[in-house]
Amino acid sequence: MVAVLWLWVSPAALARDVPALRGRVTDEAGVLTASEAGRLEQRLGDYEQATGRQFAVLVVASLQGDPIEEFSIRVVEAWRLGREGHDDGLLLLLAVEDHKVRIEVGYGLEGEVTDLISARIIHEVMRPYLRSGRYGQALAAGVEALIEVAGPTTAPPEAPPRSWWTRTLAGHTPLWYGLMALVCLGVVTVCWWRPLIGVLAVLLMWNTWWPASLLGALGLYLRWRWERRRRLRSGYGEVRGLVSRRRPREDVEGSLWRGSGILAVLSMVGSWLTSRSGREGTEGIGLMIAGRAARKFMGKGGGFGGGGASGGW
Amino acid sequence: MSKGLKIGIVIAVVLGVMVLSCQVIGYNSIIDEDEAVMASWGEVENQYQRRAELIPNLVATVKGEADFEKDTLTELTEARSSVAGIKVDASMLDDPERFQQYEQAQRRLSSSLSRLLMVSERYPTLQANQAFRDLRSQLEGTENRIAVARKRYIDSVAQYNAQVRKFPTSVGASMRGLDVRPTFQATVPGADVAPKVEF
Repeated sequence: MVAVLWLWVSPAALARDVPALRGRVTDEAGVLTASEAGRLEQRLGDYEQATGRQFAVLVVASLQGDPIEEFSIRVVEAWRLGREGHDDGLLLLLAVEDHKVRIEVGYGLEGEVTDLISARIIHEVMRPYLRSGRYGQALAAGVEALIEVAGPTTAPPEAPPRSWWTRTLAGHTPLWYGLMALVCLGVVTVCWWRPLIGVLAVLLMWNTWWPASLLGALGLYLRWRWERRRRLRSGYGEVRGLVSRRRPREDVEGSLWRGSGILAVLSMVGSWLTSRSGREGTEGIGLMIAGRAARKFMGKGGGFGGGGASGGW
Repeated sequence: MSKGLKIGIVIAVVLGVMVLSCQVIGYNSIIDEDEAVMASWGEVENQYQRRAELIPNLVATVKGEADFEKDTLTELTEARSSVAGIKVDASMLDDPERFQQYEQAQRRLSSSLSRLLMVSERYPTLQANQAFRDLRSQLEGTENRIAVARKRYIDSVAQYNAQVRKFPTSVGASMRGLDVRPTFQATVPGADVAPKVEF
């Protein structure tokens, strides 16, 4: 039984891990000179600038026993090259020691870069260079051929996506603004007079329209401050001119508000981070922070279905 | 507290409990899972269809080779017609027996295809034939798509079946009348290899 389980699990457990996406050109095997890699990076960057299509090159030393097709699909599933909805990503993968090469084509490019054309590029354009060990030239020629085949995009690259800020606040009808003002007023009023219901309203509005939620949270905070000041002024809690560390019972209500306020803010921040990074949980947040820090090249959510071709030399 | 407020609170609580319990038993999320299974099944079917369409061309090209092994060709043609004889639609997913039958027919087609490609290695004129080489790269591409589509189908069914079987989401699934769906056998190494032939 254990042996069967082990057999079952082992292919996944022993599979070669996917390298981190560092740039358009990732050379794990170290077969490219800096200038070759730089030129490729430049070419692919220009192409993305012009068409929005994300092409990337990955060179690995060894597949560690994996079939190149399996490794390749795992790489693109992790990297998510290409734009979401356009699925216009492409990966050119070279496994040096295995003498294997693969072109992995995103769904959206399967019409232009067919399996047939991919196979021809591998066999007729790249293989002569690969056979003589000129990997840099092979990749450059392959990329050039792929770009030529894919062509200029049929649709112009879309405008950069509107920022989160403008998406929620700008470009609506006056009626919409009026309605939202009413909603804000409602939420703030509830937060001021019925803080516990207010917390619920704040959480609810966060997923619908965040500015109302923020205003509500502000209302909660102000109410809490006001309450505290009123209590301090009315005298209890004051011992020898200092604020007592002991908490009068009436203040429990205040800390309840504070607690739920903090909880609300935390969950809002959490949902904001996950919605922004487009992935679930902490992985997405980590990725987002890392992406910010290094201004890395990142996939934009393109899908792949195994199109393309593989070959050897 | 006025009477109206009390009634209002009761209604709100009842509504809240209803919404929450729907969430807990996955009354709606099972629909998403079901859709995902259907979508991935559609992709599998698509790719099988694509492969079936390539085969007549392949057979025609190979027949041009005068002394090509007759047995291999006949077997491929037969395997293809046995696949074509099965009516394919989404209702197959509710009928494990038909599903298995279909799966077996496709498996047979896969293996006779790979045999034919293997045998073709022995015919240098065929290897030099551009039409044959193009067909072969198209078939290889399709086999790879099939493998990807199958894997995604297996994954989506695993997720769906887990939700159908596990408590409390099983309650929502049975309320929707949804049952476990058949999946592909985990491939035994070598039993279902794509025709992978080096040039």
